[in-house]
Order: sequence, then structure tokens, then C-alpha cells
Amino acid sequence: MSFAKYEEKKQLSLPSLIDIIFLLLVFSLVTQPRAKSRNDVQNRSVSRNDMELPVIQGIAQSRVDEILKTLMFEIVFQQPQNTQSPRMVYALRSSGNDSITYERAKQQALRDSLFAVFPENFLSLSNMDFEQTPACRFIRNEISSFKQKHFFKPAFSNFIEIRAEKNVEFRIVQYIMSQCSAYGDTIPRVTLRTLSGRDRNRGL
Amino acid sequence: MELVSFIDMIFILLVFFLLTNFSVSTSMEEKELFIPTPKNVLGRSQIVLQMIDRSRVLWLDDKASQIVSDVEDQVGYFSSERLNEAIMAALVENSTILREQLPAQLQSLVRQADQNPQAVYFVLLRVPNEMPYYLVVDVISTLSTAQYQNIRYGCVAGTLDELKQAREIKTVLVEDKQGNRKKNLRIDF
Repeated sequence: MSFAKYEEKKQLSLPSLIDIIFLLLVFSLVTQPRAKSRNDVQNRSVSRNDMELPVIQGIAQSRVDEILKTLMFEIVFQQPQNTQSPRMVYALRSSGNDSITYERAKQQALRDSLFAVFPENFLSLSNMDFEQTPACRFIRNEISSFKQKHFFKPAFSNFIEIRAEKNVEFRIVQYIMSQCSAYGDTIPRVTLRTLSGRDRNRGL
Repeated sequence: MELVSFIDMIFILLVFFLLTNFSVSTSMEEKELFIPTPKNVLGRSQIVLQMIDRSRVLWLDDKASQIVSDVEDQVGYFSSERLNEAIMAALVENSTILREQLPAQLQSLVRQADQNPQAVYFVLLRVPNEMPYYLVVDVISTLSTAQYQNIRYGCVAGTLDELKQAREIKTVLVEDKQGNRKKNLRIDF
């Protein structure tokens, strides 16, 4: 008498199935671009160019708004991500009483040609020659014009903003600072835009 | 239970949580860092930081006065040029720190400032033109964390060669408000 062979029914292996699910999840996390959270979009809409700003650790500095509060100089490489390309400086003008966002100010700067390019050899120029470059004259004129329209008297609240790629040379930043200091206490400080971690205490 | 699959699952969970944690913690936001504009006047500072290159910084504080004083005692008979050279050589040899050591040194200064809220410290940062400005931001962001905001800072363009070509580097005796006399380092550009 032959007996029917009894074969165990093969059941689905649960741990293997979970393995596969997590592998798929990890794969999608790594390969798909990270979706920005709502807060990220609000806070980084001013940095839509995704510039590589200096990153700082430690205690948070002031958070920035989308609205431009003052004249901002944005210094970038003419070809993004190419640190060998010439440096360009844009002047993003705020509008006093009206609120203007970074995006609109940048569009206006492009439309009105409010930008200048530093020569490739700007680091080797003497101080006098450097100050005579079109880019430095542009910076000087913008600061002078903005100061005449908005900074009527010395005040701690008067400042100019600088937003620059982190590898931009100090000479350019220092020139902007020195032009501001030419007006003494009328423009007592500048702000540098940086990237910093979120404030956990603010629940963001 | 299949042990191998179970261990696999544990590792996968680990990788999953590591990745998600990394994604969350790297979110950054844009912030402002205030820097006072430089004033072209004679000034004093407790600490002078001269960036030599991307990896070295010359840190001149009150210890530098002693180094200069020792050199003056040894070779004070040198001509002023040779004396300056000897002084700068001694300062560079004894007061240069690596950039990796700079954060710890700055934190030590911040702690000192926090322990002495009545005192005001001034740090002058000299940076060569070709240095990327994020190096300046690194230093200033640390100094700005002083609890009582009693560390003032300023940054100007300057190179080590300009320091070496200073007209005079020497110690001078200075009396403070309490009548205590101490040696200060004086650099005349």
C-alpha cells in the first residue's frame, strides 16, 4: 500500500517579506529627492538658488524673513558650482515702506541689470586698481544711493546684507564692509546670511 | 523562526532609522549673522587672530607679550629690522595653532568671557584677501555665542607678511584703571 506523500504546504516567509518591504523603503528614501516640508519651503524660498552658504553651528542667529529689509548684495559664481568662474555681485534693493520679497528683488535686479562681474584676476589687483573695477564701483554706488534714500541718520538698525557662496573670497566681503564703514555709524554693521540648524526649542 | 531573516530585519530597521534620522537632522534654515563694520582708527584688542593660510592661525594674546619680552631681553641689541624679524619668528613658532585647534581655543575664550561678565574682550581677526569668507564666519559665529555678549570682534584684511613688515613690534608698559601695570604688545603698521 503506498501512502500519499504528504508535503508541507509552503507558507509565505514573513520575515523575508518584511525584509523586502524595508529594502524597498530604504531604496526609495535614497533614490527619490527628499520632499521639502512646508516649513522648509517657507524658510528656503529666499534661497531658491540653493547657494552654498556658510554653515554655522551653535546658538541660532536671527531667522530671516522672505521680505527684504535692506539692501542685499548677493555674490555668486557666474557658473553655479564652478568656483573657477568669475564672481558676480547682484544688488537686491528693498523698497522702504513696501514689502518686497527676495524673489521679486532678484527678478528686478536681473531685469534692471543690477549686477556686475569681478575680473578674473581681482585677487592680484592692488587696492587702488581693485576699487576701480566696475564691480566695486557698482557696489559703492549702490551703497551710496541706498544710504541717501533710507539711512538719514546714524542708527544701530541700519545695516546692509551680504549673501554669498561660502567660498567667495574675503576681499569682496571686506570691500562691502569697508564701504559701509566709510559712512561711520550711519551703517554700523552688516549681516552675513548663513545656514544653521533649526531651533528645536521653537518646535520647528 | 528563521533566525537569519530575523537578523536581516533588525539590520534593515537600523539602516532605515539611521537614514530617516539623517534626513531630518540635516534640515537647515537661513539665518543672519551680524558683524560690525571696521573702523580705521587706532585700537586695542586683547586677541589678534591672523589667518596665515587655510590650515594655520597665529593667535596673539597676553602670552605673546612675554614671548616678545624674552626676545627683547635676548637680542635687544639687534637693529630694529632684525629685531622685528626675530620677534615675528618667535611669535610664529610659539603662537601658531592649527585651524582644527581654533574652535577649542575660541570656546575657551567664550567660557572665560562668560565667567567674567563685567570684562569686555576685543578680538581682531586679520584675514588675507584670498581666504574664503566662511572661515571668518566660523570664527565670528563662535565668538557671538558669549552669554553676556561681552566679546567684541572685528575683521580686517591683512596678511602675515604685513605683520612681519610692521614698523615696530614691541612690548609697552601699560597701567590699567586699578593701577596695575602690565606689558602689552604694540604693533605699529
